[in-house]
Amino acid sequence: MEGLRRLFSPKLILKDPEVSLSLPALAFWALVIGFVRNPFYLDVLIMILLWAMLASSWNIAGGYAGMFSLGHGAFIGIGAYMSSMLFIHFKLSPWLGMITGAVVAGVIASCLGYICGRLKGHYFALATIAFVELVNITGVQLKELTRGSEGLSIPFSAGWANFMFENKVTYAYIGLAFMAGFYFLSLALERSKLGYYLVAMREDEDAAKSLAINTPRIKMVSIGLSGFLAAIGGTFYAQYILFIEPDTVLSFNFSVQVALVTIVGGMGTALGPLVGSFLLTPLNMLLRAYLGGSLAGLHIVIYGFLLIIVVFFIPDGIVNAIRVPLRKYLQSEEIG
Amino acid sequence: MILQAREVTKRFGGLIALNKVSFEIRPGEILGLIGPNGAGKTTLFNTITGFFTPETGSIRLEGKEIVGFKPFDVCSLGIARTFQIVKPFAKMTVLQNAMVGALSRTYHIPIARETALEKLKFVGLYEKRHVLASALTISQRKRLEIVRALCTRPRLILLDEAMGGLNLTEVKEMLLLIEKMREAGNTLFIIEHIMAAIMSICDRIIVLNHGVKIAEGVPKEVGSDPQVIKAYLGREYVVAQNRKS
Repeated sequence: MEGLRRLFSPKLILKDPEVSLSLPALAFWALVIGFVRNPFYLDVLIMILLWAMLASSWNIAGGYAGMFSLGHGAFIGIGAYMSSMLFIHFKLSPWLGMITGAVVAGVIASCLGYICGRLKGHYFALATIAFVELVNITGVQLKELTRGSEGLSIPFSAGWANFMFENKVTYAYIGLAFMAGFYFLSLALERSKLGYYLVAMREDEDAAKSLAINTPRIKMVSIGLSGFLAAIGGTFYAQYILFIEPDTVLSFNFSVQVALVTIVGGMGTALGPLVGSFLLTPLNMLLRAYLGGSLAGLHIVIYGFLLIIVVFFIPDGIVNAIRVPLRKYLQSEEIG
Repeated sequence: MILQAREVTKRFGGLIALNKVSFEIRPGEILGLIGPNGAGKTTLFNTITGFFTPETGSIRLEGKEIVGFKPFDVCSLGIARTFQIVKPFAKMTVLQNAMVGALSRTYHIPIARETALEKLKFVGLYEKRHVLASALTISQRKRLEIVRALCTRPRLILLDEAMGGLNLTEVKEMLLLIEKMREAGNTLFIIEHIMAAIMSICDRIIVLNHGVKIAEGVPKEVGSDPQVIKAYLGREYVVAQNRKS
């Protein structure tokens, strides 16, 4: 009880609102999911949670560590394909397939981090684009395993062991649980030695090295963890949509969207990817639903235009735009 | 000896940036490093701290060979440095900057915070602890470099122009801080261009010119060495010194 009381003390809520308000916020979303009946809105909710997961995973490398990846589609795709192929070819439960895919993606991501880690800024981003294209082509060509560009349909048979459900509400709760897990992991990271080291490396690599930070190693660790989590998001996508193809999960577009959600929300903050997804995902889906039919491509034009406005006026993302002045205020009040 | 360098040579293509440089640093002393621009002073710092690997020669920290070690390993072994062009972690607060240094010796955030706060008081940045590093003035940034280095609990600290770009008052404050660091038991190796400052504070000075060590000794000897006057100090310096005395 003492712990709970401290968690909700007014002082901590002001000082660290993310920690103290996260549990009530999660409970609120759990309630919302319980009340939504309309399948379209439920779909929007699930996609919000999915993109929040994917963006959170990207944020660990792209946001905290400053390794601006435009190739996370590769890790998402590896996760989606690994669990689906293991399920279809070997009848392995997608839960186990998810772990397998995550480990494979994590190891591959670490190798990428080792090879490309010495590339800075844009050059690293270019290398990751090349990487996602490489994995995309591999996915298209390995027809016996992946069915190539035809895509892979996952035969539906509901059940907990199969990670498939008749009811969308179950997906929403699983998505919420995953998202919460990713969020708390990010918060823990932020407050750990590794978190401090990642941000220091992002801000100045030479200064970081001179302060005993083994930058090549923490690059491998951060992108490895990032790839691991992205692959888990990939499996969730596959189990929900039940159809994957290289041009969605293994694509450059998918990779850009993951980065974009985080940039709008706020890079290098645990909350940023969630905020970004809660804004962009419904916007994208509603625009497509209401404008997609009338004039082909109009929804993309409007979506792109809104993105330009957001990035132009709040380049640091929404969370940073709110938090930095708030921190200043709190410190001037001598609370911090 | 804290540090012993023997015949350290570093080339960049055809240019010999350091040519068989040998010197040693004794525990508790302040050793100065002077020389004209391009003499190889910062190259020497980069070579000691593992940013560059010398072609030949040896560098020993308390008897242990450190040539070939990476910068982060060199720091773990006990050599900390500051940069001539300051490199603050701009989006972190002053306290967080210092904590990054302190985390090199611990995994525990509260312990790192304690060390950081103690060292921030020491260098006089405690009041600024919650400010983002990007909001600091140049003299505060120089102190931030020093506090990060101190937080790694080094055996030896290399200061690369800690007084460069500061005004007269700030230079005096920095001199007091360096004196305070020595009194706290630190061993320092400093590059400086402000002659009055370096002459007053150093126990010994070595002089580099075109990568070659041309003089070594106590400040007085070095200041009157004809080679040093010719290469770096200039005749005006001697005239000014004579006028003073």
